[in-house]
Amino acid sequence: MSLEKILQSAAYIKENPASPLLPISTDAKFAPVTYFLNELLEENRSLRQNNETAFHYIRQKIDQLLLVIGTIPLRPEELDNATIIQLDPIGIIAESFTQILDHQRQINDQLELAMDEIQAIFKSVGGGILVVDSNKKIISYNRKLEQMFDIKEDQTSDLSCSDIICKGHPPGLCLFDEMLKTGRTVSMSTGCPQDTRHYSIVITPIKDRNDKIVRAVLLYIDITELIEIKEAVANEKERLSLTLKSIAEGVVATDSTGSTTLMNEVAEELTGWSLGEAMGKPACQILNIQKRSETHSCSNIFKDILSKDSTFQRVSQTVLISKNGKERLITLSAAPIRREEQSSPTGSIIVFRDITQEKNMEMERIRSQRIESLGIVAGGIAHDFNNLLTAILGNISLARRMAKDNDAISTLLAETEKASSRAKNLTSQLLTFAKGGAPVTTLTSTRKLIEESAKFSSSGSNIKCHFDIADDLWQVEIDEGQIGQVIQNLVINAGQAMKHGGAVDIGAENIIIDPNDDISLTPGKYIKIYVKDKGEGIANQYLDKIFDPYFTTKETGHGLGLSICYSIIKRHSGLISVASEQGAGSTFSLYLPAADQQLREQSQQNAPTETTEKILSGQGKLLIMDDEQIIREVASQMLTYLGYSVELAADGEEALQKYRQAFDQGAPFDAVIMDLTIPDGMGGKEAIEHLLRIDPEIKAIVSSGYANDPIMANFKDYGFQGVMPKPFSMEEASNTLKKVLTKS
Amino acid sequence: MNDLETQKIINIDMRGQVCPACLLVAMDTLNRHKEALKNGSETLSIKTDNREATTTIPITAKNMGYSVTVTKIGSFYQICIGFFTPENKK
Repeated sequence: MSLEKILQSAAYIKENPASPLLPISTDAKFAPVTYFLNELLEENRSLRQNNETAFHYIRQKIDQLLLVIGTIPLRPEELDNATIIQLDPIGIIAESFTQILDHQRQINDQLELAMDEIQAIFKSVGGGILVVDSNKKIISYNRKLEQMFDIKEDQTSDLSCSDIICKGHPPGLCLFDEMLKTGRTVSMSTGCPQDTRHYSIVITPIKDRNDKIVRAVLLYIDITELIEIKEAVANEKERLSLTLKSIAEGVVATDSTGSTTLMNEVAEELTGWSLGEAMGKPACQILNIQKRSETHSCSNIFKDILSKDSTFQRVSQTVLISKNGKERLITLSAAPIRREEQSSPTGSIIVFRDITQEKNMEMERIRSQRIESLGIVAGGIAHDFNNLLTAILGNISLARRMAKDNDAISTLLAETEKASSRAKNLTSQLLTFAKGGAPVTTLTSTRKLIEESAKFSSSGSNIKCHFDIADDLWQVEIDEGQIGQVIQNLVINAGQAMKHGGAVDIGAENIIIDPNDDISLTPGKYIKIYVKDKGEGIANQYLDKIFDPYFTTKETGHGLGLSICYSIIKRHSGLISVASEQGAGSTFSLYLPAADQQLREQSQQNAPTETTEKILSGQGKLLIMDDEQIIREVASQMLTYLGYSVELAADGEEALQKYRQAFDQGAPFDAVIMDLTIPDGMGGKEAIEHLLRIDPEIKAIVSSGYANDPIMANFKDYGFQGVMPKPFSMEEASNTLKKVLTKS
Repeated sequence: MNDLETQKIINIDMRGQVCPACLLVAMDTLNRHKEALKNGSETLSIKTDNREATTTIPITAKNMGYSVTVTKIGSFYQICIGFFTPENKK
């Protein structure tokens, strides 16, 4: 074998490691070469084997590192050995680990810091902290919790939270269980009671990577004082609210900008705003005050009150217009709210009071006093006038009898008598206004009275009455004559207001007067009668005067009609009021107190007695007692003319003396006519008591210029047999005497 | 320093390559650009179509302390690695 052939074989054997080595050459010349080549081939085979082992090891380490990093092993075909050497995966991974370690170190540092922070919080926090595992076993707690629940350190091994904190609580109320159920932070801020204290609790879960709750942090904060303060504030609020509720004044509070922050029920009622609506709105929008002047405008009041040096302010009378347009007269005071003296106000308080009713009552009282004073004057004049008229009428009566053959004188006297009769009517009206006579009341159903009185006044006129009277109208205790007169007057007025005629609405209804009603009446049950015309109405400036006597806007009339109405209604403890609009008509309203009793039969005692116009002569012995000489004289002449014999007395004492003397002498008087009142002396009322003791059978007649005096109305109750109101005509005198004397 | 205007973006397109080669290339780049990536002057943007790489690369980068976002863009994923502030995150 040639050398060339040997070298070719060696190259083949090198590339094919499974093939046998070179055969030792038989040629002695090439034997050493063959031997050397075989040694080289064996060494090559050994080196290759080592190389394979090394790469296998490297790949194994690379795969191991890749697995640690979190990925899959290298596939052999992915990178050949040469590329592995070139890429240096181990170097890359090692370098990456350096970065990972650096990062971990940083995280560790942060974690340590965070742990320190948590420890600091754990120690210094104002609440008790308890850490438990998912089975409520205590892991740790801070010093505050120890103090709160008086825990001894050696007590807590193997204990659960319920052993030291929720002792005695029903198991169903465990907040921890709720946290486990929801997986979220749960809290109880209302205060969990424990012994005598209250705690707010917050439980926060701590979860692992799989979102499983492994621990929980429980934070306990002692809120006992907070709860006590809250209760105190609530009590204080309740007290304030009750105070505000129970006072009669409206109260509105504002902040420093004048916006409403509080108002009580009275303020709600007076302003028409509810607290909900008013909250935060400018108080001036709520308190719509009628501006009397710039200084009294709402905005100015607030500007002053909320200024630095402000003081208390008072507005004595102003008109408050509510949201629904109702106007009320109020007094208002405003004061700043200051936390400390000298400081700027933090708000204001406005207190206001509805004085509409008070004002109305005051006006009514003034009117009542005025009319009463006028009544005293009118009554006095009427009384004196009646005395004078008695003399005039008496003398005319006498003169007419004496001049019966002289037509001219008779006619003149008849005219004079007529005029005197009108004067008598006038004094009678004046007296009704002045004294009215205490109303002689009977329990009455007013329906018939209203209808009859109205029809009586409207008959023959061009007005028509429309009635709207409630069926269940309460009964009233009234003087039918007087109330009838009132209704007649009102209907006559209504007719006069409607010059071209028309309908007058007359109605009656039951009404209950409430203490809050703006009406000057004692609260209670009333009937309200109204008379409504569509006439020319009453000018505003006259409304306050129409009830004054002798005030009239009519060309005819005395101006006594409404005064009498006022006076009569007042004496019935009622009220008369008027509402009028010029051009649209007037409505007069009467309020009469309803009676509690049932209707009883009307007393016949005061039924009017019919009088005849005939002169009835008579005979007998009469005693006339009157302080006025002219009355004594004219009465003496009239009665003498009628056929009686007459003796006179100027007062009660004289009458008593004369009566006793005649009685003792066996020639008693057949009748006595006595004046009811004698100034500075014994009048008829006292004298009859003495006379009855002398002669229980005495026939006494009472006479008075106060025709409406209660004694005149109920004369029989006082022992009189008859009544003779002054002035009396000869006919009236003769009739009364005849009636009394013929009584057995 | 690390606003979007001046930030340099290192783009590596590894589409067609699979893990772990992709991961090794990403790690190598993260190692070599460590300083610039951490001070925010550079970010690394890798395009890959290997799904596994979208898990392994972000996990490793996060372990090294980087912020990572993965966005699917058409047929491939874009993995952005760097230090993101809330302003330059987008």
